[in-house]
Amino acid sequence: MVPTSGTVDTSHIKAAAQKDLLDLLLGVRGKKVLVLDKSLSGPLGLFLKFSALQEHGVDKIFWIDDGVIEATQKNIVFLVRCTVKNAYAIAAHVKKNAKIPGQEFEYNVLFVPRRTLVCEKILEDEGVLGDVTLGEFPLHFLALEPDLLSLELEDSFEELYLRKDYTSIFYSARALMGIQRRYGLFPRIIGKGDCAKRLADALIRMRGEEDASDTNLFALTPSSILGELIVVDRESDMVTPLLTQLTYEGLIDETIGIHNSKIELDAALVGPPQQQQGAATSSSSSSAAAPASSSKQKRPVLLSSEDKLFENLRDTNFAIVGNLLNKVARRLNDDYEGRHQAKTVSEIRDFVSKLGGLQQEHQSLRLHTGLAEEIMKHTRSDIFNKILEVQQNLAAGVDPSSQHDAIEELISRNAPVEAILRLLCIESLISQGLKPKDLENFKREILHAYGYNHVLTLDALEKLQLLQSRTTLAASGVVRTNYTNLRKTLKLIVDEVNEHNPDDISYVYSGYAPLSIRLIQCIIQKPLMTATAKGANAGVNTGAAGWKGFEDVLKSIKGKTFDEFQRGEDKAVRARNILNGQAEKKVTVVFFVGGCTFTEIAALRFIAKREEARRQILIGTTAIINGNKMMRAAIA
Amino acid sequence: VVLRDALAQKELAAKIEKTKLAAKLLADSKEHALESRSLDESARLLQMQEVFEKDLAGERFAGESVNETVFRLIRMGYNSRANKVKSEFKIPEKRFWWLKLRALVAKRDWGEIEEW
Repeated sequence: MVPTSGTVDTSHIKAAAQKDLLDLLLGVRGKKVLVLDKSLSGPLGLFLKFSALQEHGVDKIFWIDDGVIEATQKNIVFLVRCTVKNAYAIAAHVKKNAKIPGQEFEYNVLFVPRRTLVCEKILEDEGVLGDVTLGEFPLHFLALEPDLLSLELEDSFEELYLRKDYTSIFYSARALMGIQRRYGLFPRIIGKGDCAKRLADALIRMRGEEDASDTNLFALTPSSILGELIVVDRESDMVTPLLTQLTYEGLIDETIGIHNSKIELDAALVGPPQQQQGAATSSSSSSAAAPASSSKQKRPVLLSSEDKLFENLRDTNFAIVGNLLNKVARRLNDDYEGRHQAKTVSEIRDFVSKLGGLQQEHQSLRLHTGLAEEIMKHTRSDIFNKILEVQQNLAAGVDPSSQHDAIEELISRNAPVEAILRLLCIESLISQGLKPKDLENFKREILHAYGYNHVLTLDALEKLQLLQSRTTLAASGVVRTNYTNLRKTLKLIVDEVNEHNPDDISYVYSGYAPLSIRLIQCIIQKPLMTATAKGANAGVNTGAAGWKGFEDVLKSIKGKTFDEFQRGEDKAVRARNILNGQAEKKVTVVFFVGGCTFTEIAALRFIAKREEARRQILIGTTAIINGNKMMRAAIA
Repeated sequence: VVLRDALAQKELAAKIEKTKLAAKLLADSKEHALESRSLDESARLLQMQEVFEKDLAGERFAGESVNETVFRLIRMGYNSRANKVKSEFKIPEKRFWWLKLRALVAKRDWGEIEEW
């Protein structure tokens, strides 16, 4: 059950999800029609191929939002997220079909990730509960990458902080329990933030429930593989996602948008070269689902570490992507030239066998050059640079009022409303709110420029505590993350950045080190952090674990701090240690409540590389977000 | 506050009415002075847009923001109307210039830029 090497393997999560779903489908006899929730198709595509569904008797797939369908098969399977809207849709389907005479249908409803009372109640009220068989498909973590797990709950940010709906925390806890069940308990749970605390509490409670119901105590003892669980609350560091991401993958996300690690590209960018070569090479870059499309259509492209080139590029600062692409192009060219040197038959055979690989590389090179050019167009624009300049100034703590002119100018020039709101939120967060007069002024500007429906947006931002005036803040008396203090102690701003050969995580934002990541560094890279935060706590024992030594820092960050141990029975622990041997290398799981950004992932990977000898870092998150997504949650 | 969701009304007349109602409700509480004022403004904007639509047949203004309206007016050469909107909503000089500049460039009216 537990692998002997001291690492956590994420591929089993994929395999398990696939097996679970197919088993459920097999449970329904005969051919069937599958009705899908649109928001699920992306995640499903990550671990499942359409062909696999066909093998298991799925005849056709429909979207649930497409209205009532003409069923061709007797069995209908609904696979939907458990929302109120979906429940009503299902009821509508069932009712409509009941009117068709002479035909009988069998309905199966699979709720993801679990069925809730509300949904059952709705089905009951609609009078169809008797006609359907309910089931659940516990889809939690999706392994986007070997070191990256995501729940892919796109709305989790909005739900958690705007609507104060904590369902996604429950799902997160379930998902983490899944890991614990497999590898044993996290010996230590460390975290920061109110929602993070909730998650930890939920985990501990779930363990208690498990202990009570389960006689097999051995299953839930502290793990010898897992080191600690670090939970970071998005709320404790809102600024980081609001800044423009400057890594390659981050910028793709900012400009084009990545959903379920897929992007939609103009077919022109991917299409034509592929139609010529597509026959020769197995077109690895386009996702399998893309049919022969007309040239106008958008095509989905899967971005993952399977594309070797992308794996190298994704976490680098965009400034050097051009150089890297150039280098690869040259190498490829040299490789092609290699055929002229081939003289003997065996040499030629060697070359031909390499050719497939070369062409594939060629393909992905073409894709990424095209992509980079596209992004360049965006980054070269005047407005983008202006926005970036204001952001950097604000983050560096320049007097915010000096930036107001620039922001006003951007509004007048009709820059995207998300960008403007991001700037204002950054300012509000960093300088503890705006002056009431300025805030009023900006509000009026925004309403004039982007329409009066943004009254609601501004209200939502205030609720999110992203955009506030100084007076209401002072009155509320809530402790908020104080960036002015932290900037010095945690060295958030690094002036000299080496983008080509990064030596510190600040390279991801060209000079700003994400606060969230600095916090994690406080725990796992203690010696380094005490060196940077010297002075205040020079005498800290570097061997200490947890938050020790950084209590002062934590005081100026919003949210509760916690540090819990999970112990098991000594006997069982010892038995387990004997069984597995004490692994030298521990796995640290970092979990972001409310989502994380690609830059934070990049920074964590950077740390992981540094710490390779001592630990493996596994990243978990409720969703991957960026500033625009945050703003859109408010705009809605 | 919930009433503000009613802004999603399709017809213009109904929309103006709703907005006014919402503004009145907001005016009751002191904290929302700004919001109530801006809703008042939005109702006025809709009314003005209605007038423009009548005057300039074939153009649609409803639903556009203040800046967009001014931009479109200048671009089509109705400077006096644009100025009227400007004074009505107290648009600061600077922003108005930006709008004017952008609109004139979009119109390729270089002569006008030089004159002004």
